[in-house]
Amino acid sequence: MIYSLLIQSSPDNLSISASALAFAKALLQRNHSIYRVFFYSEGVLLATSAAIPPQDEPDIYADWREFIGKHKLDAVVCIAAAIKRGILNSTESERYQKSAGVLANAYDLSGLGQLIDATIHSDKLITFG
Amino acid sequence: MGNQHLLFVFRSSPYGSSRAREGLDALLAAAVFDQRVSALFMGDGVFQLCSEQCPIDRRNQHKMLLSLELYDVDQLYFSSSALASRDIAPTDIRLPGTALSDAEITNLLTTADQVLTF
Repeated sequence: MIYSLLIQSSPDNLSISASALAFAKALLQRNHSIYRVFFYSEGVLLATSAAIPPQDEPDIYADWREFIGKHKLDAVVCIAAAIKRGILNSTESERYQKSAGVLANAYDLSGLGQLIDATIHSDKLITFG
Repeated sequence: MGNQHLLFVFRSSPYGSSRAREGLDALLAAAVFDQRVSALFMGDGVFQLCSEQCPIDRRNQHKMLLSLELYDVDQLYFSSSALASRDIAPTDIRLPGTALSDAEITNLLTTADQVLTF
């Protein structure tokens, strides 16, 4: 089956971010495919490349980045939800004259239309958070 | 794009987080993309339906929901048990919609093509 995931919880809520990642890994292990992972609401914070988790906690940011990169997943971050929380890529940081873009390379900024598109092209959309 | 039935489930109170507002933005995006859209309010999401809201420095969620009529949104549903347990009388709700029992909600969730929860 073709799945898409909607991730809305903050990476601070580690159990949800980790559950979503474990679910995504399990899908691929069972030969399902992932059409898109859409990051929305506080979930956009997962896409920062600038977070420094405490040493005694798992680095959920790196875990997600590696998973997306390894499987070349389409990881889309809602641009409206992202820029209001300071998650800018280099284009947006120049546009708004901010000092730096922090969006990790694994992710793309795009609009809510990508979420609706995912509902159309997936058998199931699973919401986390 | 296909015309599928998307059910947006609102379970968050209107102002405790940005979830209610962002969920409504997603619903409006779906309506703009010509999908068949309905909304179900359950849990603390039923607080979004209260007509007497005076948010400070935020947009009034109830007024935004009233604007849904402009967007050809298929149907609004409210959880009867969520309203009852929060002491909100169905007659207090000024939005056009249908109150559903828990069994009817189960049925609604299974008939939608996709369910998005906020």
